[in-house]
Amino acid sequence: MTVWRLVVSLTLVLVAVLVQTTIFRAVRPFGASPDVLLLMVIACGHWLKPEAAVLLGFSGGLMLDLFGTAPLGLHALAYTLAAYATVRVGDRFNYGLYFAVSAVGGITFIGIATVALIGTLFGEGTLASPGIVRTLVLVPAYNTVLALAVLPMTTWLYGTRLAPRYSRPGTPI
Amino acid sequence: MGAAASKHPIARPRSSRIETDRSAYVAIGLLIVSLMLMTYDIRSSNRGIGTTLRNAAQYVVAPVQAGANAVVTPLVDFTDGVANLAGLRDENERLRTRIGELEREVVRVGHLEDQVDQLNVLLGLRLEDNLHELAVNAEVTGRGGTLDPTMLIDRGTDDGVHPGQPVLDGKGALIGVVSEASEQTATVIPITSRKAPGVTVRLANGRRGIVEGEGTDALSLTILNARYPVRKGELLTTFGPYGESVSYPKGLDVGLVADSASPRSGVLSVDVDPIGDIEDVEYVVVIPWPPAPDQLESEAEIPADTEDPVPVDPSTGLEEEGGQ
Repeated sequence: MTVWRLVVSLTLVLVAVLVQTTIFRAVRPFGASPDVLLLMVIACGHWLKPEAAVLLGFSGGLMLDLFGTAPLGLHALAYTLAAYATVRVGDRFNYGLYFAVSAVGGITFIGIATVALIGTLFGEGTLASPGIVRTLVLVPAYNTVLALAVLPMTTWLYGTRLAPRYSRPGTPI
Repeated sequence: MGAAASKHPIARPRSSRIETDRSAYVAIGLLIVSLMLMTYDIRSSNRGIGTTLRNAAQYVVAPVQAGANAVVTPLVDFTDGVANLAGLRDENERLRTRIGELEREVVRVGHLEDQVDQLNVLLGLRLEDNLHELAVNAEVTGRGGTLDPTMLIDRGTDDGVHPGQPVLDGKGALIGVVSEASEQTATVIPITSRKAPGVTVRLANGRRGIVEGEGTDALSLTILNARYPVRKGELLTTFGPYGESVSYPKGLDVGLVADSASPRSGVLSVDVDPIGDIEDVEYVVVIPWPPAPDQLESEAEIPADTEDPVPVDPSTGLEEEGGQ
């Protein structure tokens, strides 16, 4: 079942990459779009073993790097960090939905800010962009809102459909 | 806490301490790999395995992106239309005001067009008409990440699209330059990106300046050795090959000066509003200039400016004013 979780997570992340680079190229309310890939890394990574979660973040970021001109590895680095943050604050997800979506917003901010900071250090000049503050505010906000729907769905998927036979939702595996 | 967690819809088991610590080593290892990848990709300058991987990935997903766009674009257009109904009255009022401004502008632009035509003839660098006839139409099928303004288009080297060629929107305004091209797809860097090559532009009276990307949806104009101010709304068009700006042919619309500004200590710097709708553009035109990468070098040579109205400062390669 652990392997299935990883396969399903990678599939969801791949779909998120496609959604991010197609649908959200056109849907940009107030000049920014949600980072659905990062959201999916957090939502799925929360249900995986810590090492698998970190690898999922790295893989997702690397996939996204292949669709842009940012240095290969920039998003991989940032999403790895975000996935590790997800692992570290995993307990927050157990405090309730509102704590969980807040954690999603915070981790999204960490991920986006890392892309901006490391990108700037590597010559992208991202932090000097006029719209950077708007992006740093709106993207976590969008992800927080979307998490209200995505987190219960991943809970249903991983907690019931992909749960080990001897466990039940919400119990240690 | 355990009971409360088990009742909650998003509850999940806690990780053991040992697993978490091991994940830290994995994370550190992957961070190092990422940094190495970035360093290698930057040092390889679009010629390494990174480019190959990008081209392969874009080749594989291009059909999927095209399919998704076919579904999403009409939905987005419909949603935009409904959303815009509410603001229609304000928009009408704004447009009336704008029409008044534009009517005044037309008179001035007509005068500028005459000047531009004369200068085009003098410099003998008019963009050949057949370049427009050979232009490659393309659809924007994808974008980069949240902070990556890169566009992906559905035309590649099989269609005559090569790195270094300028990209226009449907109104003929310059929006970017092709950075990488595979057989069937290509990557476009918007001129608003800091990674796009600077654009040497022509201002009124033959002055020259450099327009560079400031990041998301922003441009700036810099004129060295400037003596005269620029006015708000002044049209900037590509100057043609000059100095380090070899990526753009002559006469393409670039942007409008956002505010009136005067030189300070001989340098004039002002924001520029791009004419092209870079954020929402769906269809673009790639100008085959140069038609193949190997022609870039020969085309990039600085022309003999027999009628250059502006004295050039050899120390900067730039400068402005003159001819006045």
